[in-house]
Amino acid sequence: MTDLALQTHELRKHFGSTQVLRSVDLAIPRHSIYGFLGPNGAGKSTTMKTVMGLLRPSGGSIEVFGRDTRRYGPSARAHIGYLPQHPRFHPYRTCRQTLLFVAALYPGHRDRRELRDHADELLDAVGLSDLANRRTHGLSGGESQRLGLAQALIAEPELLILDEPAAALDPEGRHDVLEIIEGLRGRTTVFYSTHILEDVQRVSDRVAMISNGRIVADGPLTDLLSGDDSSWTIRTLGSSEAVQARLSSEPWVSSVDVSRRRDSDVWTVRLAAGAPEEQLLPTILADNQLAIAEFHPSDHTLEDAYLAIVGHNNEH
Amino acid sequence: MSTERRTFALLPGLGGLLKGEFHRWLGRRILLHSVVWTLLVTGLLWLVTTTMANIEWRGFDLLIHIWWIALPLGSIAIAQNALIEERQAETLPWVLSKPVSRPAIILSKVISDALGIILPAVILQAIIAWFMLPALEPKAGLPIQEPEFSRYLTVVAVQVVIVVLFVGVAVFAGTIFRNRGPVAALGLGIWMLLWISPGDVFDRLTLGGVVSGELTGESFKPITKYLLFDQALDSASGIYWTLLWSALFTLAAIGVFSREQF
Repeated sequence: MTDLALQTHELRKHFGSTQVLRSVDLAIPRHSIYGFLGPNGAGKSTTMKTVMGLLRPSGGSIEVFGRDTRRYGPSARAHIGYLPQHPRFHPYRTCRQTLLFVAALYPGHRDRRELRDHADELLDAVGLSDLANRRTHGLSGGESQRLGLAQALIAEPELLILDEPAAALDPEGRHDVLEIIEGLRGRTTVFYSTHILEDVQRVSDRVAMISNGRIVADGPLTDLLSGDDSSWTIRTLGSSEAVQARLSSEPWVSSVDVSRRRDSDVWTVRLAAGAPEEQLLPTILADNQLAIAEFHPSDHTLEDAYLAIVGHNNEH
Repeated sequence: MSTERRTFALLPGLGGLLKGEFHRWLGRRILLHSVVWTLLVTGLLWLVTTTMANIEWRGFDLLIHIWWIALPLGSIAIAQNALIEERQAETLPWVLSKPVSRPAIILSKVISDALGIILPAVILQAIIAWFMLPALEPKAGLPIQEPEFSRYLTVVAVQVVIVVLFVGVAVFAGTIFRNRGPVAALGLGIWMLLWISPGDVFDRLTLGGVVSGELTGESFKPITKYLLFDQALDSASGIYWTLLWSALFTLAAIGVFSREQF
């Protein structure tokens, strides 16, 4: 049995002369929580729709748990729960009926009462228990998104594909969605796209970034956050101009940024590759003009990594 | 909860889709349709037979006329919604993201809509008419001819074929067109063509040889002569051909729908 829940190989998709996916290679391990990032129009939704069989790939292959989706489309989808970016449901069904309808589309026999209880549990988990008997045409955007998450989970899929699950949600709803995703850790593979980098940093253990239809970064979140360059944050007390000039002139220093905060200066010093890091502190303290209040490697945020990788790719 | 994944059947998802469609039909919807069809078919039958003196058609003859007008139009009106309603609500991509095959979606629409018309508009009305018409006293004075039961069953079966044909046509048109106008136009075009029935070959290959009349100057349709005047149905082959055409329309709908992207 393959260790990959989803794998795409040189996946391509064009609409007429517009190439949307140029070559998408993804390998999503089982039980990982995989964030999928990229600017608008980069190809996130197209990738997901192609995996779900809603769009026909122009080239390449897709495997879900080792099964080629072109040959085994419905049986591959039997392992997937999918939340589209803008979920729409049959307007004549209630929220509970919608979940039961979806459950009936999956293979395997389930006890009716057990299924109904499961549907109610899910509605409770996504905060819709009060609306269980409300028809879906009256739901707000956020409520539809919550119901969308519940219907994606109703068949207890092994792979959950969520296209911007928190996009239409208020902070409370976003929190609930992240809690649910967090609760699936270790049991279900979650592949989700989002623009909210903070959410990705909070729950994902792996991240892929797509730009202009290509995967430009892919790997464990910790690797992306560690960054390539060596960067240090220093908070100093005292006059800093001379030290700043001396430090900037060192060939192994790439850049020095200093910002004033109340009674201290905060420095961000980026060192060139192979720089003698042990020289940094003695160089700053050389003429005793400064007192050091803080000295530590800089924290990289996902935003830094995203802007560096996607921004760099867009420039080319 | 048991989530055993079984090897997939030929038409994955068909059972669940049909369950969903039937769930929609059951209850108030089927009740409402039954009332409307009863008012339309039985009501008109009763009204015309008992109140109009100078009417050429009465009784079972009139029932065939009413069916021939109401069933194609009703089938087109109901089945044109099958896909277009889902398109307008943008729910097709959501359904297709589930473990269902595209042929299963088309078949579930054809089967559920056909049954949703056949039960209240054909079977129910046929039963009511069978018991009601012999009991009526026609205004025209002439008694109502009572047909042989086996011939009556054949006529009812032909009505079922008519429904299946027009549901198939409407669902097929729904895979090509994005709004109701052209879907209805295609169905109405076929209906008129069958009514006029332009020639012998057409008669043998379609229902034209069974249902044509009036527009061509014949006051009785061949099927009426079969039912009430014990005449043979010369173009019975048209009934079997129509079943084939219905299957082909459904297959064509599956073919077009299977290529669509969302």
